[in-house]
Formats: sequence, C-alpha cells, structure tokens
Amino acid sequence: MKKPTLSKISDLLLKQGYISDETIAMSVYLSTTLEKPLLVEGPAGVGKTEIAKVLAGAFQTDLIRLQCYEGLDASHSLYEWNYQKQLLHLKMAETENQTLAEKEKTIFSDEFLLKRPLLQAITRKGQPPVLLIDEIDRADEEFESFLLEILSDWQISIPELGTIYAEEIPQVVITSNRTRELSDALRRRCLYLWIDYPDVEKELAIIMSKNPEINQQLARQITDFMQEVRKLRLDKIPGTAETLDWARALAALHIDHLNKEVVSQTLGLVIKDWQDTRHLQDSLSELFQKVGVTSKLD
Amino acid sequence: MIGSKEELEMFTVLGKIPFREVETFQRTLSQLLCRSRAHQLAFPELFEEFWQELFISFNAKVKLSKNKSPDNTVKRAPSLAALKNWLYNHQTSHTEEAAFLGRGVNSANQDLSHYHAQQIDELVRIVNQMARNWAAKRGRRKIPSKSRGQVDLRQVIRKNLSTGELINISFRDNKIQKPRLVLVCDVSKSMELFSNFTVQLLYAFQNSYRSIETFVFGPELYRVTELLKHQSFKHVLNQLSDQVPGWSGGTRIGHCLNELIQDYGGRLLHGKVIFLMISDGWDTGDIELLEQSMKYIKRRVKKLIWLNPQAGKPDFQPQVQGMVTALPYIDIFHGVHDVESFKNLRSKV
Repeated sequence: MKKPTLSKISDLLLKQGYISDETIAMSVYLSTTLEKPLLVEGPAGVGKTEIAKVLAGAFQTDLIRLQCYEGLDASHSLYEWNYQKQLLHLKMAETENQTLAEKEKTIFSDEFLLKRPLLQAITRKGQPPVLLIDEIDRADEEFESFLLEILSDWQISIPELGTIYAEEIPQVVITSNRTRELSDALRRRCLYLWIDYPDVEKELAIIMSKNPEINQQLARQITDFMQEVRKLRLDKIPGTAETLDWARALAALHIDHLNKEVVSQTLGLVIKDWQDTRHLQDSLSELFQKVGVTSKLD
Repeated sequence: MIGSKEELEMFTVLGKIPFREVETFQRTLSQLLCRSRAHQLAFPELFEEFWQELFISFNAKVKLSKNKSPDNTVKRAPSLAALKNWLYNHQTSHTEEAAFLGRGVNSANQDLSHYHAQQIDELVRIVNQMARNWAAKRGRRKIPSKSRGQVDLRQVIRKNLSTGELINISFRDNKIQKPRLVLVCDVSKSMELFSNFTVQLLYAFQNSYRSIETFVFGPELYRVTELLKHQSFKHVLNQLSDQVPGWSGGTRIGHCLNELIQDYGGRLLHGKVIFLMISDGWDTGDIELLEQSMKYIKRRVKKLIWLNPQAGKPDFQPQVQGMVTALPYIDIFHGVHDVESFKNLRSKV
C-alpha cells in the first residue's frame, strides 16, 4: 500500500465524506507511517467507527470488523476449528489405520480451520485490509492482553499450527467509549486519538457534506441547537450521528427552518432517554430563545 | 512512560514531516507521545514549559525561573503531618464519643505501625465475603467447568482423538461476575474520629477487590486508586500523605461528586457498578449540587450504599443538611465505624 503524505490525508478523508481536522489527519498519517494501531476514544456518536470505514474506502481495501462484547474470546475473534467436520473426518477415518499423530495432523490443518476477523486480517494477501476492533472497552481485560501479541509483533500463535506471521501489516483502528480504563500495555502499542463533539463550524460542514440538499439556514439552526443541547446535563448527550439523523429527517419532511412544533415532534431523533427528554422539554423555551427558534404561529 | 521505542518513532516521523509551524511540531509530538485524554490535555502546558525553560537556559539571561517554584512547593509539600494529624490528633474533643463507639475509632495511644495488620486482615476477609455475595450474576465470559454449561467441543475433540467416539465430555460455563465498585471516602475534619478505620477500609477494599476505583475528598476530589495498590500499608500511608493534600479540611460533597461525574462519570458510573460512599454527610458546599449529583449517580449505578460512621450511635438521627439531602437517593444506609459494625453490613448487602 502506498502511504499517503500528511497533506493528502485530509483530502482522502474528505473524498470519502469524512470531515476531519488537523489532529485527526495527523493521527491517521502517523498510524499509517509507523504501522501502529490507532486507538480512538471519545463520546458515543462522534465518528470513531467511521474513521475505519473511510480509511478502507480511501485506501480501496477491505474492512474487517471485530465487534467486541463481554465474553469475547479467541474462538470468536481469532480462529475456531470446524468441529463437526473434524468429527465426521474422524468417523470416516476409523477404518483407516492412521496413527494418532497422523489423525491429529490431518484434522488440525488449514482445511479444518475457521478464520475469524483477527486471523483474516493477518493472513490477507495483497492489499492490507483495515481491521476495525470496535468498542474494545466492552470486552474483558483478558481479551486486551490477548491482543497484545498481535498488535506488537503482528503474529498469532495457534498451538496446533505454530506461529502465523502477518503477510502484510493491516491498518488497525481500535475504538473505545471509555466505559472502562484500557490497560497501559495496550495504550503503549497504539497511537491515541481523542475525538470530541464537533464545534459549530465542523458540525455544519458535516451536515452539509452528508445532506447536500438541506437548506443552509436549517442546517445552521440544527447546529446551533445541538451545540446548546450538549451544554445541558444529560445522561446521553447526542453526538454527530444524532445530528445527522435529525437533519436527514427534517430534510425528508421538507422543513426549511426550525420551529417549536417541529422540534417537539422530532425530539426523539436527538434524545434517546426519557429523563433526558423530560429535562430537555423543561429547558426548551430557553433553548429556543438562544437559538432564535420561534413558534409556527408567531 | 516514554521509552527508546517512542524516541525512535519520534525521530522517524520528524524526518518525514516538513515543519513550518510550531503547532504542527507540537501536534506531532502530542499524537506520538500521549496515551490518554488526560495526557493530551496536559501536553500543551508541558510543551510550553519545556521550551520556555530551554530558551531561558540557552540565552543564559536568567537562571531557571524561581517564580513558579513557590506554587509547586505549596502543591507538592509533603502532607504527612496533615495526614497524621487527621489520623491521630483530635482525641480530646471526642474522647467521650470515642469511648462510646468502641475500639475501632481512633485513640491517642494507637501506633500505626503495629496496630493494623490484624484488623486489616479481618477487613479484607469481610470484603471478600461481601464480594462473593455481590457476585451472583453470571457474565458472558466462558470458563472451563466440570459438569455444567455448554459442551466444550475443542476439549472434547482433543480428549477423544484416539477413539473417535465422544466418551469424555468437557464443559464450559459462564463465569460469575463481580460488580465493579466505586468507593468514595470523606477525609475532612468531621471524619477525623474515624480516620484510622476508614483508611484501613479503603486499603482493604482496594487490595481485595479487582475492579474498583477509589477516591477521597474534602474540599476537592482525589483519585487514590493507584496509591492504595501496594502490599505495605505503611507505604500506602506515605503515598497518600505525599500525593493528597487537604486532610482534615472542609467538605464540599456536592462539588466533589459533581467533579467525579464530570471527569469519570461516563466511564465509572453505569449499571454494573456499586457506588459506596463513606461520609458523615457534613457538608459546607452547595446543597443543591449535592442533590443533583446524588440524583444522577442513583440513576446510573446498580446500587448506592452510604456508610456513615456517625450512624453507629443508637440515638443517631440524620440531621445534618448533607445527609438529609442525600438520604432519598440511597439504597442502603448503614452505620460503620469499626470492624464489628462493618460485619453487620455484610448481611444487609
């Protein structure tokens, strides 16, 4: 894979519809140059996962995704043997006079191996893929330790097959929502990127980029409103994903400016918690005043 | 920790990026060297400071500025005296109360070095029992099991390779999950009387429970998780005294809880967490903020337990404003001032 220069990174991301900033561009550049995983942290819905998707698009390669969850282990992330096939083979080989070593060699071979995302990423030939390890904070600490060997040496040890080395080093993006602290060992092996909620200008650019047909005044109002909502003390602060959903919905409803009625009716796209909804409804008048939203009847 | 690997990477990258502005240089270093959000937030100031000092030395005009040192001295001044004062030096006004509450509370003659070992062992034992009680739910992580759960095909194949028949069956079952703990302890003046016990309790929790975050607070909040992770209790005390100022000061519970929510809330406060607060509820801060914070924490965590050392008295009535404000949001309220009263908590949780 030809590595892009720093100045080209932003353009590449922009072509994929991702509005980045200098910090994001620098992190992506360093990650590709040093062949180090990029650990992306930040609140939910700010575009952490999206980075991996647009990188795959920008580098015209495959995206291999490993969604982490509690209880994730090697058999779901790395490899598993095809046990049914192995059992059938053993049954069929009963009549053959094979030694135990021969049987073992046969059933623990590539033919019986089911490759999971990590092994797929390591053994992929040709253009190295983008490996997305999503929401790693949901997995257990033990899984993190297990990842270390892969992320530092790009190799995987399978007891029955030996050590498998990466054909090409994949571009790795790891995301975390910070529901727990990640280990220092993992952090040391990664470049760190924090993505926060976008500022007004960036959020406006994102809306315009994803919804080119949207009315500019409406886009500005949505942005201003969202910026104010994020200042409230909410349980689940809406991210860029919610902004985009809302903008898309309002555009679909052919609305060209915000009014109190529309905001009240479509609030469910922005706020996903009933207590937050109640809290926001209490503060709506103040918010409308700040953003300059009037009633349809005014 | 920055090692030779990081240095090497730094030089590799610096050779590739044409720097015209200092911001680009700073951003590059920040992205290469920082490992967390906290690092990134602190980096610009450190960067500035480094170059400023280098510039000063280089020009040999002024020796290293002394202007900043007094501030640093104040912040980093060893507060062992303050901690010891908090631990021991308050008996005269409380002698009667201490005598009433029993042997767990502070007394003027207690010596830290030979007093704690047994009591800490006892506390650790109780904490372990409590942890077992709490760990009732099975998680999604599978571990080998003797007789229950799903069949572990990998092991089955391995064990029965020679015969081809499934004679020996192995199992995997879901691992029992312990909830995470967030422990927040008041170390203000009003808690002095119970200081010995509470410090030991913090130590016992931190050293017998795996998933735990510990904070102490007075006028400000301090995270002490790392400081408490040591086998020697004496070392822990030295660490606490070096790193945590504000022993025996005022209390701003609302402010400190709010700080905890802002800085750690997203990460630490969720449905798998038991929030354990040790305080007498004596608050000199914003009561409204305390109520908001309690409401928020109550909503987020699995269980909110408040341990009040004062509540051990038979005639105890929660009358201080902080306690009255917090009570509606508490799941379990219990008086804990010594090992015996702590044992009683076990049955409640």
